[in-house]
Amino acid sequence: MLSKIEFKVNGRNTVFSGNPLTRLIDVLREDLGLTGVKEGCGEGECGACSVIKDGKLVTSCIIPVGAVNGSEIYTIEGIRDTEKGKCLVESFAEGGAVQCGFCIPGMVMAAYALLSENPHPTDEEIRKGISGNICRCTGYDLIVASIRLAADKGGDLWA
Amino acid sequence: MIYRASTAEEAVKLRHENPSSVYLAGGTEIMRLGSSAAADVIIDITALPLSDIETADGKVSIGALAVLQDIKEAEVIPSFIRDAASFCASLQLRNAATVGGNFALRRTDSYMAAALLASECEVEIMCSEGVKKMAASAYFDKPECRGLLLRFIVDTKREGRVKRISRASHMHAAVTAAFSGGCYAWSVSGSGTAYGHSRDGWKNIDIKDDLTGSAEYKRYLASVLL
Repeated sequence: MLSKIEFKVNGRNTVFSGNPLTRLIDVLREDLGLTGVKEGCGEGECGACSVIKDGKLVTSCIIPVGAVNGSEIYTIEGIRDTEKGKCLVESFAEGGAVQCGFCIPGMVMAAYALLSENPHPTDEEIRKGISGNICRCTGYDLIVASIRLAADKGGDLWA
Repeated sequence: MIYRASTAEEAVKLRHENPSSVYLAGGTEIMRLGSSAAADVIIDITALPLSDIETADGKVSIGALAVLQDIKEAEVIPSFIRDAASFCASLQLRNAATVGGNFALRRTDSYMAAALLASECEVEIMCSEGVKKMAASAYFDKPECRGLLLRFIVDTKREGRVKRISRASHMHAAVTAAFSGGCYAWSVSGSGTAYGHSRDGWKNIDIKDDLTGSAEYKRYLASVLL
């Protein structure tokens, strides 16, 4: 029997000993204070709560914390100060990708996962990479352009 | 309370010892709106090696823990089954949701159930007596079964089609319908699932109104989708 759930968040060991069906987003935001993880739909469809679990982009609002035992989770707070994170943040700012900003942490996580897997994506691949992230402000074009900019500016960073 | 099973046998033993228990893999079906899954004991099966997709002798074996994104990308899987995985419109969800979870919870808005039932595939399940192979439909018809779904075995040459109607790509489907090799299958939201070789098989479902639409609307969809 497991009395607790152990996993890593942004490189730090984390132990959770409550209800294993608690949503991962609630543990991240309320227990760990990682409020860069946003809750939008709460149904795993809008992507605002996107995090990287064992290298894959997932929505933390629909994953119970019991399913991440032994996993490595990265949130926006865990990547923003890395070279790749800075490259993305600067590119999003330079490309005018942000309006209200609510979707942006999820978008950055999606872009991070995409470029880490595919350093030179086409526009179609970028659109597929962010297809699980909904933005109600920008119409996506500037976000796609900003991710392309991050791929170009980052160069070998993403290889 | 959560247990982490290190073998399929152990998972099944725990499931039998704890009547109010549920298997946990991706967790997305358990947490999804409308889920009826409730349990005092969680059996974590994420560590089990059940995510491989392999071919042999004209069959493709799809591990129950394969995620929908892997199914979508696996060219060895018949295209209509891959299309069904694509119905899960979010990349993030597809990265987490397992085919086993989507099928085993038998939801009436399942992405995969209609396509897999129409494919007339087989499943392997781990029971307290050991591994059993049976028609996926036989397993599907026994929701009381506490066995652990191990894999789906699908004919690689199987051809078919699958369609899904919902108000938006990410919403619960009103009707999902599939046809393959003479077999039809329907999942009708809030109402039930039917399959068989009759084109009118959907009439066996007691179709009800729900948030996806009226009973009349869903009867119409079921009658024209295939």
